[in-house]
Amino acid sequence: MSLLSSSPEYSAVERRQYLQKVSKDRFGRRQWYSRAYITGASALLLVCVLPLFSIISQALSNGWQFISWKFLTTPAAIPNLMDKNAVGGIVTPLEGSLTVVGCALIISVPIAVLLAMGLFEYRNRFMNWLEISLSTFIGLPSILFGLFIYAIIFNVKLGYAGIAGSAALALMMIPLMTIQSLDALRAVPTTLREAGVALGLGRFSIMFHILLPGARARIFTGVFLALARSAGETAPVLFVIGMANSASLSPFSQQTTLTTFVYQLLQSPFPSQRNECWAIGLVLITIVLVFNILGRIVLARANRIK
Amino acid sequence: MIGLQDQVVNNGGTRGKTPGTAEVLYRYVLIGIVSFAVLVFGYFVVQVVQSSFNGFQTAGLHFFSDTIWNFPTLVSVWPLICGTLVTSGLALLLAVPLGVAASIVIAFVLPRATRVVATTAVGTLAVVPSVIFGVWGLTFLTHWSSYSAEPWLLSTFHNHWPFNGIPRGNGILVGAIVLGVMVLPTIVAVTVDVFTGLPSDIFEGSYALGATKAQVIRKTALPASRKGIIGASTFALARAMGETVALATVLGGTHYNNYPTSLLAQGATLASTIVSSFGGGFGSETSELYSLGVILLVLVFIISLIARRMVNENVAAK
Amino acid sequence: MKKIFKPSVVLTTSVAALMVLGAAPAYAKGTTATDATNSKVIKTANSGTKIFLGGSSFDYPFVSAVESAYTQNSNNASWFNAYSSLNSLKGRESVINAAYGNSDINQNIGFTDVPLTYDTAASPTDASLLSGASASVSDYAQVPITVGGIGIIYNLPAFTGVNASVCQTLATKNPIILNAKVLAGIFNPTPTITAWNDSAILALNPKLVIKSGTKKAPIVEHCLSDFASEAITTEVRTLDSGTSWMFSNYLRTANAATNSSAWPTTLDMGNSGGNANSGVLATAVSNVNGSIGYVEASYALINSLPTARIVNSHGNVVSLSAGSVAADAADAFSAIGNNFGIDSLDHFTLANATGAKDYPITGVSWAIVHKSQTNTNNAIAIAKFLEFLTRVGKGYGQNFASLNGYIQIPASLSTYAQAQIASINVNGTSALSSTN
Repeated sequence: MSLLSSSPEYSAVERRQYLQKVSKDRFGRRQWYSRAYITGASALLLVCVLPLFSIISQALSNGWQFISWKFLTTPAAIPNLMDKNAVGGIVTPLEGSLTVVGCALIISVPIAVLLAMGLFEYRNRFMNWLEISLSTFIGLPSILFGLFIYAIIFNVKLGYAGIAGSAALALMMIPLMTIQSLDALRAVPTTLREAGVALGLGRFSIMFHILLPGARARIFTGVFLALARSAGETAPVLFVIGMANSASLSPFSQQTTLTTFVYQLLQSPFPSQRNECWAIGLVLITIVLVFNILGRIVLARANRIK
Repeated sequence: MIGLQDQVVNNGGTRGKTPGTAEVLYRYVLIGIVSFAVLVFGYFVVQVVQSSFNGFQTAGLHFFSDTIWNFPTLVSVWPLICGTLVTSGLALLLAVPLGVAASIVIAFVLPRATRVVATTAVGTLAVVPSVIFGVWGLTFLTHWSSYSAEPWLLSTFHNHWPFNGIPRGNGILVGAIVLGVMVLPTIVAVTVDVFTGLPSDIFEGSYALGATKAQVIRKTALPASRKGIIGASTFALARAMGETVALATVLGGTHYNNYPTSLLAQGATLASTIVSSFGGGFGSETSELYSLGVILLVLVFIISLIARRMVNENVAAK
Repeated sequence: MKKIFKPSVVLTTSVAALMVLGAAPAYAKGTTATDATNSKVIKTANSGTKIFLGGSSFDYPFVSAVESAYTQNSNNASWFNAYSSLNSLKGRESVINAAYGNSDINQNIGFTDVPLTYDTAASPTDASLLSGASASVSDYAQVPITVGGIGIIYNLPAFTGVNASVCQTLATKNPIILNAKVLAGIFNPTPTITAWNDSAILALNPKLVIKSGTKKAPIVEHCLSDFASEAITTEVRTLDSGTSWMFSNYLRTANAATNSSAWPTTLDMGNSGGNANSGVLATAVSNVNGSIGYVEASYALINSLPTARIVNSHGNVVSLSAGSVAADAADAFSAIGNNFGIDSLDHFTLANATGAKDYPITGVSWAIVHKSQTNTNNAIAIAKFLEFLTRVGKGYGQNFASLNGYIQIPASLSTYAQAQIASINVNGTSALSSTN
């Protein structure tokens, strides 16, 4: 690059020769190959983006017709040949999702944060092994948690209930939130911790007054991300929450969530109900996107403050 | 330094002070929670395994020696394992080249603003719930596949294996496409992280030698990130093997399955069979599904360990 | 609890009258539950497990339409789960050994297209089911609830070639005509008719031709011969399906009557890998070009799929409609007379009818309940619902039949049904006689 500037070290002749060499290189075979490579990779990038466009456009064209305030607040209807398009609304699965995911949150957040604190404070071989096991649990198929809760329901002779689904979702969320909270706690600079020690604070005070406030943002982010993931889960709750009779916010009655509702509707022979699946998909994607964006906003604000 | 701190802090008191009640409570609460978590997750594994005993017993030797899954009378697990491996493998075959190519462009080629747009576009796929992928697969992909894609494949390859069979729309091919789309954002995200984490001096050295962009990418970036990409792919594999609902709607295999004979054939995976064959009750039939769950657990666990080992090697090597 | 195939839980909107199958008009304008008859309202609300309704996908559109009208009353709604569309075997299993539905067989109503012990193709067979539960056929009340026709749905490949658009119009106006022998050849597990341009199919469809040329040298080109390489893809149900059984019955009877060996009398329709229920089969046919399948008429209507016209035993070409199905039922039941029952196949099958306007692929579908109930309120709820379902009259269940692709059961069947329902008892006292 320095040869291009008018540097006194190189004569005009040398500069001209260099420029000729460089401009030939601009059209050499290697350059064409490089351009083709990049273009090909860009084309593949476009292919990657295609499915998203397909999903969004299908969702909007098939499902947008159903979206309205009435759709969100009335119970479902069964279409039959006399009224093929009677789909009603989704208030029952909406309240079900709210209840099941909300209770899962209440159960799992304290446990996950406390577990992360425990993993942070005490380190030995066993705790190391526990942390590794937890991070392996993150990748487990979610249906296994549903099977576990189902076995408990049958062994203890409880009934189907929303809280069983919450328990399955909590089991799924706890490893994820624990590892994220643990990373959050570790990300707090050690100088702050040392300062606490220098002041004579005990473990609990250090944690409560220094580490948790410092890690709070990342923990919230972790919670939001886990929330987003569990709002979209079907398999763990499918077998254990039964089916709702009517919209209710009680976790001890049987519930239907948005995801299990979509799973049922997919089996329907009526095309209008399959289109309704797309409408519910729009609602689900919106909810999950909102949680994701909230999480990232919290993270960005925390990073900015730091 | 940490060790010194621990000695000093020592459960809540500096030297000479007795720990306050908050500290003592704190310690017991943490021990309690950790024990509780260990118990619960341990019980999880124990219960699932225990519920599968009945199934293993009922299915008997057929479980591992036969070749047909005909729930609930004659069950063998091999067609399902084959289906799982085939769909996940095909999904990776589709997703890894696409994902790596997309990450190359995102990390090395795009200017900053477009990079954010592209990352968001690919990352939003990760946000879509899996049941919506099932809806997309069932309503859109199967129609596209049975009317356009599969007839085109049949005519182009002249019915040669593996592109032979009846174009039904659902089947292994569409299942692999749906799975590939689902794991794509994970691969892209991790690969972009790996690329941006590479030390820039290796690039500067290549550019100084006069390499073109493609040469730099191919000869320095890719080899340096190979382990990271393989680790990401293995994590993606574990996730793909556990995918349940989207495949249950799209694969089309009912309670009777043999080895899938071609890409256009229908099949089933371990997870999708558990969901679609679940009948209720807690008898021997349900227990057979728990057996499938145990096999799935073992498979995913092994693959996760392998992935972790690879990623750790990559980290340690740095 | 079988949730996989349940439709959404209901409180339906009011019902509009429509003529659907092109024959006699029928009309229900919402139920006015102010009636004095006691089967429209169950007086005691349910506080326990809801009754499981499920089984045959043949009945699903009809029973779920009736159920949604019945459960407009909130007391009634507290008693019943939504209908689970599975297959006939699972309907029977739910009542014999509670393999589906609730764990107490007394809390399940199973719907099946074939009464107990007549389905020998399903696995497990009815005989083994009964012996496993130490029960016998007489322990169950088998209530005929509806009569419906099976439509042969098909999805023709796209016409190519010069006359494509003309052929397309012709094919839309003239649905394919098939007869029992051709159907047997298509659906046989080792099919003898494998392509749409088979000569037997061409011979049956003389209207799908394009005539050109001169009067002295006419050129007649058959549209279906366009499909030189288009194989017929048969979509079938599993062996547990009652629709398969009904279709097999027709193929057996019709082919035996013409001395054709195309369908052996011991052969049963369906295979292990078939479609799980009629809804799935209908979707499969609409997705696969060149496919053919068999579903109850309402599924053809829901998915707007064309149904083939059948050459009946009289030699006439009949299309599937409420009129032709009703004619077949009328002829068959007048031949059966007062002998209607499940004691012999001839006493409930509709495949023997030989009237001029009969649509031959028709059958009766049943609801099975365990006769000796243990809980009085449960028994009353079940009996009332079944009575509502099988009663002909304004505002009752049978009114929903023709709106949904079925026909009303004739008076003889209704009487038989009421007798069966009366046999549902708790400790000897008939459930319906209670004043609840």
